[in-house]
Amino acid sequence: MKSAASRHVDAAKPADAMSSQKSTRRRVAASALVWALLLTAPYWLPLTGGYTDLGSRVLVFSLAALGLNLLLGFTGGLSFGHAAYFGLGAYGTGLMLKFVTHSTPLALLAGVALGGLGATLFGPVTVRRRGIYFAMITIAIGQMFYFVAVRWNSLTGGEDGLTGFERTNIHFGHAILNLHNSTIFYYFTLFFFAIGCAVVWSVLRSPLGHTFVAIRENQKRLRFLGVSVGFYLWIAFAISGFIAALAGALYALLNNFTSPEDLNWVLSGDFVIICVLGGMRTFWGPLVGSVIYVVVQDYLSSITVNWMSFIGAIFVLAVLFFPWGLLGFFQRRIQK
Amino acid sequence: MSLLSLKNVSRHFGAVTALSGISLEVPQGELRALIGPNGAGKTTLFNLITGFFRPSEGEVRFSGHSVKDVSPEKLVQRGIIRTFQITEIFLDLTVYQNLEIAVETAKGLNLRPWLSRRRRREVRDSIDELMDTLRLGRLSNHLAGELAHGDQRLVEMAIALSHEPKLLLLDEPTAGMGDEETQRMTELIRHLHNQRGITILFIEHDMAIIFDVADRITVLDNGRLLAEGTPAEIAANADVQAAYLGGVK
Repeated sequence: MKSAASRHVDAAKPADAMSSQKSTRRRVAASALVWALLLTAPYWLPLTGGYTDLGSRVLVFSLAALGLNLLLGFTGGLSFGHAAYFGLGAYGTGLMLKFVTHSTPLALLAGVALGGLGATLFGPVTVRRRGIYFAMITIAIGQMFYFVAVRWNSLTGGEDGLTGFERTNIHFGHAILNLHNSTIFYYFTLFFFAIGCAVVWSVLRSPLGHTFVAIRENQKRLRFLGVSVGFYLWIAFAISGFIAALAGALYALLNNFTSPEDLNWVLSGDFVIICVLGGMRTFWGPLVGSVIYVVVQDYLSSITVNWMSFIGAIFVLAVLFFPWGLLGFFQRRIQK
Repeated sequence: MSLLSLKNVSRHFGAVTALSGISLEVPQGELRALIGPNGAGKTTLFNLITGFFRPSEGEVRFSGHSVKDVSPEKLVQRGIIRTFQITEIFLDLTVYQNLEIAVETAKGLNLRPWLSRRRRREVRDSIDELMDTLRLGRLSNHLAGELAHGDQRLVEMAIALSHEPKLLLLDEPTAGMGDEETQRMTELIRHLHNQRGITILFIEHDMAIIFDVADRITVLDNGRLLAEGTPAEIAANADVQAAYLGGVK
């Protein structure tokens, strides 16, 4: 204790430089471990009683939460409506496959475009307000899409959901990417998950990401530095919407199905829970939260229909004892 | 020509008149103190100059142009930078990150999702320069929220300076500071004025500092302009004595 304190006083700068170097090394090691686990998941998942599609599900939810977390954890915008862009991504992809094309990449692109542009279009409406009003507007806009999907029976299949489409194999000349194979589809999903991670990671290291964090920290200060906060909130909203849409598009492909539940605010709430569980201010928090959420859901829902109350209890306990999320908690422990 | 000029400016909040009929000229390069009892309208005046409030009547001009209908964000870009009575910095970020945001904003890089190596070095150089000017280097990796009050004030000054202000508005820069910190801040203000020629308008209660550094003093009382002049003139002014200087004792 004493030596740590005196080191701080005596040579604050070198000690800081050393600890920051150490924490960088630790971060690189943690990321390497995460990627190693993800890349080998189809091989070790069965050993733990899991299955490959469960892994894909974790990736999809992680990706959606990662997108949301750019807005929620790093920009400080509590959106309870991100299922809207997730669901638009899913419906865009499903409808495209069902009515327009049998090309999986094109369908994926359509889903991402639909959800992402939806977020871009409705972003300016939401960012006019802050705090609880921002959250309310995001819910309202999300529910709008939900009701459209429920009512527009002829196109969307209404409450029963959209069926009658299937992901197709991708042909590269003579080579075929057999997406019907669960393991191959897992890597297909992992590829897009990695793209999402790369986008968020590089944004967070850039002036754009610094501006997002500054919005979270002190809007007034930023405003008096000449930054129009609403405009940057909108950009964060749009980027995060595009990523959620990508996740939704992959989800439709994973299940060969989508339903209004994928647009519902309940799912938006699940994304928020995932971010909070894992740690909103950490990069890998959404992944950790999603592992907990998806695995607990998968396990408990086979035992009881009331699995949601267990998720609720876990959430309450987590917020009480790990207010910074699981990952945030460990990060703070290590830094101390 | 005056850098900042107010003509007959008033501001009402409902039935309350916060400022009435204020006319003020601050020439380029001047170090002007703004004094007055609590509630005299000093901070309201800052809010009018920075575009945060609009005047109910009258006109504010900055380097010859009316600031009517110009957003606070645009006024910052034109060179009006302020600090706040209660320090406004990014408390949960390190000192380095605070300055990083300030410098990137000053260079207009906010929209960039990536930076070239050259740009990144430019940003780092500017941050280092600010750290040197304000002697913040030793605190670079500390969270701003964990700093002593005086150091937080310096971080705020560094953020303001990153924008190379033409007009710097300081709202009680030494409030709540110890003697040594006050000394440092006073030296800094004098340095910015003498060496960099920045026009400064500052609200201050500490008479010793005001009479020490200010070129001219403007006295507000109850929303009105009570007096204006050199420190010597103000010290000798009977109205000011009655309304303010005497009251302090």
